[in-house]
Amino acid sequence: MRGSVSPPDAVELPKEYGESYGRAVWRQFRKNVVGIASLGFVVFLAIVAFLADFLANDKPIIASVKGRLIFPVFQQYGVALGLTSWGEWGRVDWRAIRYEWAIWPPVPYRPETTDPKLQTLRDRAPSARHWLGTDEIGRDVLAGIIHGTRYALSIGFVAMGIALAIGIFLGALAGYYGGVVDILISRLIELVLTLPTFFLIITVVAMVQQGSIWLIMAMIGATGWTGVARFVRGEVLRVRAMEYITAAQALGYSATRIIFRHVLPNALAPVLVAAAFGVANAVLIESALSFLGFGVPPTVVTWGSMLAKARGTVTTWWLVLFPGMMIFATVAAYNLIGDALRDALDPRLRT
Amino acid sequence: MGKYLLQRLLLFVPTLFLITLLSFGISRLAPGDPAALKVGVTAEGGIAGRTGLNERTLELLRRQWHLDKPIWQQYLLWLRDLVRLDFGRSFQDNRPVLEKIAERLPITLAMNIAAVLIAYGIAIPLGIYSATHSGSFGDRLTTFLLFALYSLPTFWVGMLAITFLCNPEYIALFPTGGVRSVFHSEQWSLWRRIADYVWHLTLPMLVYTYGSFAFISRQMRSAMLEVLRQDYIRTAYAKGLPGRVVIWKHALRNSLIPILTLLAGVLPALIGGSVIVETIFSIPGMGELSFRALVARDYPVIMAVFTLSAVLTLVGILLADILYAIADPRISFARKVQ
Repeated sequence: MRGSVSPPDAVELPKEYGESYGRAVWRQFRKNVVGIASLGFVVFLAIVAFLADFLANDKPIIASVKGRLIFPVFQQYGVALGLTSWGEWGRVDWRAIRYEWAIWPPVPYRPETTDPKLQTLRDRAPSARHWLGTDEIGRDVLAGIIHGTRYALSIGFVAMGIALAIGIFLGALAGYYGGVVDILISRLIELVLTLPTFFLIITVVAMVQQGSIWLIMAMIGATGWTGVARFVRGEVLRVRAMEYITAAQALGYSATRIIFRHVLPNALAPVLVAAAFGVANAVLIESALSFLGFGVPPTVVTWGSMLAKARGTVTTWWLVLFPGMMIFATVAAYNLIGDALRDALDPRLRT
Repeated sequence: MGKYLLQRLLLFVPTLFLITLLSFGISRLAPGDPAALKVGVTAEGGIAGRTGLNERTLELLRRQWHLDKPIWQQYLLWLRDLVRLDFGRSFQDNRPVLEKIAERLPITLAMNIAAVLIAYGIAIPLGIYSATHSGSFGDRLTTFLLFALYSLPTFWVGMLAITFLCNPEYIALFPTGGVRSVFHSEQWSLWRRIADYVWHLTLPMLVYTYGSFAFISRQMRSAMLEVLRQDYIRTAYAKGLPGRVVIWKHALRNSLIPILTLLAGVLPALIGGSVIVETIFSIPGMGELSFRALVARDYPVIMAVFTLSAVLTLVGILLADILYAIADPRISFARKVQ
């Protein structure tokens, strides 16, 4: 076996003059094609999530009826915000109206819209009418995927946000104060680590009958902070020993100010790596929960709940393939971003 | 060593106490009345009307299951029984929980142990290959494939397998579930019986294992790369040792240390994963048992499964620590306990 060994590189990032740490990391990250592509994919998902109502909706975006111009999708937002009411449009079947002309969203269904025209299983398979097929009660898969991006993105970010808040707070406390505080927090981290996390989350979510997406986010966040806390603790321990912190202490700054203004900004970069992997994990856990049928109420369509519809039947391959592909792509993108970030932070790891 | 083990096992007690307290509190504070669920299920038509008879049944069930007492009393009662290794009776069929678990544990335990062995057995050589051939085509290919595997959701792969590989519409290579054929008989030869098990368990085991396998391989590669950069490896090469000896004797032992500690995380992940895999492939194991218990709000079973998985997780951590100390002679057992 060949065993070529390269000499150890310097850990220090090559910095350009006056460049901040964040910019140096970003410059390294940008060189990573896969990482940038993954970031692009997440941005694409965010755009889809933002424009979901314009991409898949059962109302036209703009239409002309009896010489009047109407904007049903915009009006939908107005109604949701309480600014206007549907008025005469309250109970209309948008598809049955005679328009002079209308611009429809590319997918003319909402995820909850059932298509009563479908009778046989063959009708539910992908067709010109439903590009990616429908589920057993005629709900369009593509519309579900488009609107599901909202859940997929918000689950990841909210859950990780909670985990980051807890992890950074406790990690900084443990690292900065040391002593009894450190021992207590470290014990707490160990305790949470010994919890069978996935099982705990299923138990709680299954137990609470009125399962909501917020409960799932909170549970994932409340169990997923240990990695962040350990990272931050280590980094704070390292930074605390530096001279500028001693200087700050000598100047009589309060502990809060030193921790938040001086220690954390220099300790946070590695946390981004943990955060990226954490988001991937949160998406996985949520879709696994929805797949098992716990968590989100049955009216909410998420990628995992669509996949769950395929259970019990054997021939609805489209319900397995498309939502699953989205979950896979999203999880992979977050993981790739995490990987690229880690490489950018530590050039030694690049081989 | 013996003293260390004893100390560690004693430390289990407070941890377990806290874990059970937490899960007991959560499960009982959550809304949802198992007694009503039980009455509703037994009565014709699913949802039972609140007739006088049903009210009395509810009352009786609540008293029998101690649901009429305050939560702290319920917990103390549960704890008292736990000390006697009595997990109570299932709300669903009134059978002792321990008996139900004893039926289900062997298959899940066997799958877990096999999964850990398979995952480590393939991951270690693969990680070493990737690290020593770092940058080569083979390394890049395995790294890419492992990455894809790592990001593939278990339940999706399981569903894809069921849909496309166990389906007479497409390819019916494997059975759709269970651990042995419905038509199996005691007259079958040993080999035929083993073959039947293998035929049934190949797909579930693949789905069950690939995640941890991919994870461990990736970690093995980076651990090996880290070790290969050390000075003592360069020294070993410099004094003319053959590459095989340097890698397998000098580098392997040190690169194994971070991998062994992963065991502490792999075991709980597998326990969680068993719920998904066993549900998809209808394997009558602990995961499937807990899935049914959760749907039926069967508190005694849920608590028992939860306690057991916590114990298994703790055992995994202990095992990882012991292996850690074996792999790294600088760590003495005594010093690890503060």
